[in-house]
Amino acid sequence: MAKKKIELGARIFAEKSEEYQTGSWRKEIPVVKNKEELNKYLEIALYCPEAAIVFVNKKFSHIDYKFCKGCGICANYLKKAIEMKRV
Amino acid sequence: MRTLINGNYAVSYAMMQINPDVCASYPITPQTQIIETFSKYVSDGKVTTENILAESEHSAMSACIGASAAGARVFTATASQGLAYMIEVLYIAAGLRLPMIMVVGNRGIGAPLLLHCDYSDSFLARDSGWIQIYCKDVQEVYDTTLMAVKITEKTKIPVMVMMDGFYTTHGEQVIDTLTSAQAKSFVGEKPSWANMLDSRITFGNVALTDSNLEVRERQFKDLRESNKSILGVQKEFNKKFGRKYGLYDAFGVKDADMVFVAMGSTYQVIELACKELRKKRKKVGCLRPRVYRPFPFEKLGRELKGKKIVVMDRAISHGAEFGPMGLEFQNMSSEFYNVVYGIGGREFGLEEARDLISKFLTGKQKKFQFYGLRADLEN
Repeated sequence: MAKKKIELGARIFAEKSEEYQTGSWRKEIPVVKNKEELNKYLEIALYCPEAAIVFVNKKFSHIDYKFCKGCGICANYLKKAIEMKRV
Repeated sequence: MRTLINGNYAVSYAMMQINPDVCASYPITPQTQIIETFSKYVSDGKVTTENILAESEHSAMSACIGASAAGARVFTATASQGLAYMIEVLYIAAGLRLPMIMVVGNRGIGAPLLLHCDYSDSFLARDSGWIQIYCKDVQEVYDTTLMAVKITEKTKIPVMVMMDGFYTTHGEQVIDTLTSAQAKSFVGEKPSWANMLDSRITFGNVALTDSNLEVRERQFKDLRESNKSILGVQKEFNKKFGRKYGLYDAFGVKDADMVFVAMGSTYQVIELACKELRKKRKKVGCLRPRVYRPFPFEKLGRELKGKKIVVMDRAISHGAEFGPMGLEFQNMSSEFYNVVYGIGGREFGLEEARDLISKFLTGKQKKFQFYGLRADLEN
């Protein structure tokens, strides 16, 4: 197994930051149930503290589960489009 | 050059010679003179150091952490309650592996309020992950301050240099100082380390249950192995300037029946008393741990095996079987005694050293005792 190196003092260099995925903390996961509804509310991307809701060309693309911590802000803001489910 | 100087002035003089990038500090007895004198050097333009006069020790150490993370060569000083106040951030400096040096003029911690020497303050930071070096006199303080700069930059572990409050901080002594050129060339150019200004880097990350243990194990191993770097730097210093620094000092231990273990300035009087007794053919010896963290337990264990040892503690571990030093040494020899002495700066001079040693040579003693209690005070 390839070992992941911990840098001195647990510091993280920007080049390697993608290796440190924080999505594993999640207790609940946001599931998209209505894509069309999501496309009407682009500001939801800004509501996400982890910038894990990805829009491409103003169209909803996906939720980045590597970094989503399952806080549920998105589901609370847009109950019609997103639902939280227990992991 | 021969100079008459006290411990505090020796530290600020050494720092003036190497002109560090940042000094962030807050004055507290008995190290105030360090901050005073160094600030004067700054005002007089003798150094170009960024001198941050913080509003508290907590802020001073926090500023040191920021400066070191930005790649600066950093120095500070504190004592007693001040050290206690910065304890939280001391752990952070060590955990983030930031090079810096801090000089401590040992003074007990209140209450009751006190000003004089014992080791309650720096022993509080014993487990913080800093390297701790205890000095016996002004010469050693001066030399160790310079060596500490190199040690910390080599190991990326912060270094604490201790001297006895008032005994060493204010006691004047003629010492050999280096010329500024010698001091500068010994510590050398500051090596560059990954820092917040030059690299895209995050300090102070979260390490929860999945990785904290590994980070700590690395920190533990590195501190233990730092004695190699410490020895390396000391060897270079010894060779260049004719000194004899090791991880510990010892006198007559090899053929001694009884060995007295003491730290800091106390060792001077214990050594004198032992030398007197040696002339009378008494087989006594003494030993002084200089580097207390990393603790050279293997070497000390070999030195003290099979001997009767008396470990002198200038600090109390309330509720424990022995003092902090006693706990460290209790299993190293066949016969072990622990004496708590000199708390709050209670006088322990040559007279007391002679008295203590003769007590142990002549009669049976308790395994643990307080030495020097006044007979005319009822408690």
